[in-house]
Amino acid sequence: MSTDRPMPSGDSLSANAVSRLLPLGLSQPAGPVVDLIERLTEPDGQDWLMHTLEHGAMRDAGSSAKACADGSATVEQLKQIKEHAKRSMGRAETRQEMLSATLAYFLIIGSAMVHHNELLTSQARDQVDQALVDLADVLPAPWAELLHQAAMVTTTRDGRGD
Amino acid sequence: MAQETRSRDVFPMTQRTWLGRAIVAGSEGLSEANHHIMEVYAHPLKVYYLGSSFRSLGEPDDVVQGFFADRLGREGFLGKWIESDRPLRYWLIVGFKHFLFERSRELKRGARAQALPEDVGAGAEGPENHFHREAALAIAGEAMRQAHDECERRGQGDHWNIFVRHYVDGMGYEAVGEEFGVTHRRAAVMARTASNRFRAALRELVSWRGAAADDVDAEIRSLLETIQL
Repeated sequence: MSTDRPMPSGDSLSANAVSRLLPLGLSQPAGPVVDLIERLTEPDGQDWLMHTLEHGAMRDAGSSAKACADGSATVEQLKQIKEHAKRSMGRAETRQEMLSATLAYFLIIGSAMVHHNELLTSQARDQVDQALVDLADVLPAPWAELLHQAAMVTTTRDGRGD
Repeated sequence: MAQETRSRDVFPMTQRTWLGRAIVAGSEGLSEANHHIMEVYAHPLKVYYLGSSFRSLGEPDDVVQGFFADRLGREGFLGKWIESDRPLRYWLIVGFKHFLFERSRELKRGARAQALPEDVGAGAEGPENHFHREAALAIAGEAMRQAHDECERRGQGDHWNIFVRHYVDGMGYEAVGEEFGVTHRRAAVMARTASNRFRAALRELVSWRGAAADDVDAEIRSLLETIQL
């Protein structure tokens, strides 16, 4: 996958192109994923991540981050953790609870896609992909690779919109 | 969920932009900051100059370089920008106008006084609009350069190329995917990655000390308006 055609890196941009580019710089609409990205990019974001992976929603659901990352968690286990994370998002009373549940939810979605070729959500695929890519950009290894890979996976449910 | 709102007061003394950090980082950082400012703003300032009634003051390149040499070489010029809590482009155009007034006054005292207009640049909105438009183009170009470099550094050259095909060349993802041998969905995902790099670069370039997310959004919308005028 490549092209020989040289691609511009910023010189000679037309006004039309800049009109399309500038809106990309605007803040993303507020939501749990954007809030999670903000938390992860704060100065202590990495420490927060490690602590939350160890003590947050994933542990509460009886699983471990390692099992999600290395693929040792079964689809059934992932489904259970996902449902637990989803419920936690619905009844979260603090920002931390919401962030923790959102983190667990998308790591599980990514793990199921990469390791089991399963899409465990009824959200539109393009929206799932956007969330996975945006989170991959701010997460460290192995999560960045996992979520980025997940966004590229074609599952059997793609295109059905269910 | 108890959402925390980011406000101006969250990080009041923190330099959250690369430029702000470079300016306060000592001589090497200041040198980098100066180089960056000259790269991005030399052309917009030249466009302003050529459209203004100051244009008889000298060759555009000489005048703009003279401005940079005078102001960027002046201790505290960029430090005062940081303290101003406003976008850099406004700080520069105001500084440039002051510089031109100073130059014109100096020349009026000399032999070329008769060649200068009496109303040098006063109240001229046209050239300033042109400056802001050129600044928007230059800032977008610089953000593209930085995003491109970051994609290359991460081994995501094709992500970048697909992004350019879609947003710069205006091609749909179906056509882009065909060109790069990927599905349109995969092309969109790859472009999203590059788009995130561009967003991060652009927001950092237009930000200033104490700017909240809404302020940065407003600045980007303002740049967009100058393009669409």
